[in-house]
Amino acid sequence: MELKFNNVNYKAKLNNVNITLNSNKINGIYNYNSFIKVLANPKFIEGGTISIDNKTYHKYDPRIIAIVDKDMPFYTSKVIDEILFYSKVRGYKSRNMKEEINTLLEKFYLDPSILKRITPSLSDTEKYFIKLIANLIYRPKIIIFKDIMSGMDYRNKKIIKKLIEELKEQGVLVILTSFNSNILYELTDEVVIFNKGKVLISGSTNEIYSNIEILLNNNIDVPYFSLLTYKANKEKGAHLFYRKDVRDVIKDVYKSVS
Amino acid sequence: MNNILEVTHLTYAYNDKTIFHDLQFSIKKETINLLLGTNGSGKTTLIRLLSGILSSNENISIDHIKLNKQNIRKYMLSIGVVFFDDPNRFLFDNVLDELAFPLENLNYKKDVIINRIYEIRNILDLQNCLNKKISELTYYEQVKVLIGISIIHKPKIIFLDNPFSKLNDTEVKKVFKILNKIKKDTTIFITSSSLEQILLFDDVIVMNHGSILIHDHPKSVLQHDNELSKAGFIIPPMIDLSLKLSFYGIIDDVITDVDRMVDQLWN
Repeated sequence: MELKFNNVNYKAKLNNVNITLNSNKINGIYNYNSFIKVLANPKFIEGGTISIDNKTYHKYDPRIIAIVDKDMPFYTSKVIDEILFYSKVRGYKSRNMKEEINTLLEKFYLDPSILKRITPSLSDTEKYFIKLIANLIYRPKIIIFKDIMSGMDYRNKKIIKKLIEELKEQGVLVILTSFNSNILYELTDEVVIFNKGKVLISGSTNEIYSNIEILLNNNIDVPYFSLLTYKANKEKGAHLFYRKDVRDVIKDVYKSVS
Repeated sequence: MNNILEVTHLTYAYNDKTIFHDLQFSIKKETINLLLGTNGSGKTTLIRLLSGILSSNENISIDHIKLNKQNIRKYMLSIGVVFFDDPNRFLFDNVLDELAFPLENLNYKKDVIINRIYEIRNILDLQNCLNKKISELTYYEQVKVLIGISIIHKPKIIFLDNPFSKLNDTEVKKVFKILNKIKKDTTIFITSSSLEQILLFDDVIVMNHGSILIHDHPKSVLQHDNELSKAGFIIPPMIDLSLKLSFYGIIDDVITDVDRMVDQLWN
């Protein structure tokens, strides 16, 4: 699965954007607003093309691209109705619908009794998981997680992390969007950094977050540990490596200080 | 007495499931408070109880006004509440109508309303958003407008449910500058599942399984980092690093600012 932007221009919000996102990598998008808007309204493209597996993409099709958004209101008042509604609108039918729903519920450690509850009684994370299930069940080929992980605790973060890995193995194109660089650093293999409608830089996440000068010059949020390493090396002449894990950072700092 | 909010023996159950059992705490005047709880631990439910949306057993009082049927009007006038994750958090399509509505509803005169909106504009730096439509606002501006709406009738305390989850560090710090201006008149009670901004608060309540685990100053709360991780909280990277480095005796404070950390370490 490959999503390709070829010289895309959109309402002065995207300028000659060229990117290729591939399903064998977990992709991150920083400053994602226009990126999501253009995928949801491809008919407003003013130049260039978007293609999915070399086929031009000119009409939004939720069966291909699912956008999972915490802020989307519920369409119905009961959890089970909400899940079935998504499948109905997307034209997905299955004889084993009940089992499929239950397998997904298990993945999120939710009790099947949740299906009978009314949507306003759900907690925010439960709401998010139900929206995810409603989208996962009809098996879209591309899933965009809008503002992933915001407000999640340790347990739920682990659940989402596992889900992302599974989706990648199944060949689904996973796109994580966030304004938080620490989250993108932790979860993605490749990242696209948008700045003022242009692609500032794109490529391997590890490389981008270990050459942060260009990000700093453009006032873009950088991961804490990258910034620490950069400043220690530049201002204090320390010799730290760029690390993701706090334990590695501590070892490096300990060696450097003592 | 310098407590503004008192909760005594609060019990609440939903569908036979006990959510709070004998909950007790109080909030001091002129402070910014954080209620920390993992996802689904009942933070929003507690705010609904405190703001009278869900009915409880007469165990909540604000400035000695008990929340019950007789006092409900007086009680409601002394609080403000915003649920930031509610997709229907705005009623109108422009900022001015939003700000004016609570006061129009209370039959205030037009010039009083206009004056109060100007006051709010100055407190919250809303100069650029006052004449905008809601759909033209960034999320950060939306947060400021919502806080403005919640304090427009000069309540004694405001409850803000999960305001920071979609803001970046700089934006949160700017919001705190505003909150520190507000807190002299209005005590602030904020819920979150993240410890990221914990040091900016005056007091922190950590909730776990419907009861209070810790109620203390932020730095003292962080001394319980093992308990917090066990309860399911994520210790943010810089706080984690600080705590571990101070365990090895390399630094002696919790530092979240990268510049300060670098200066302390390589002095």
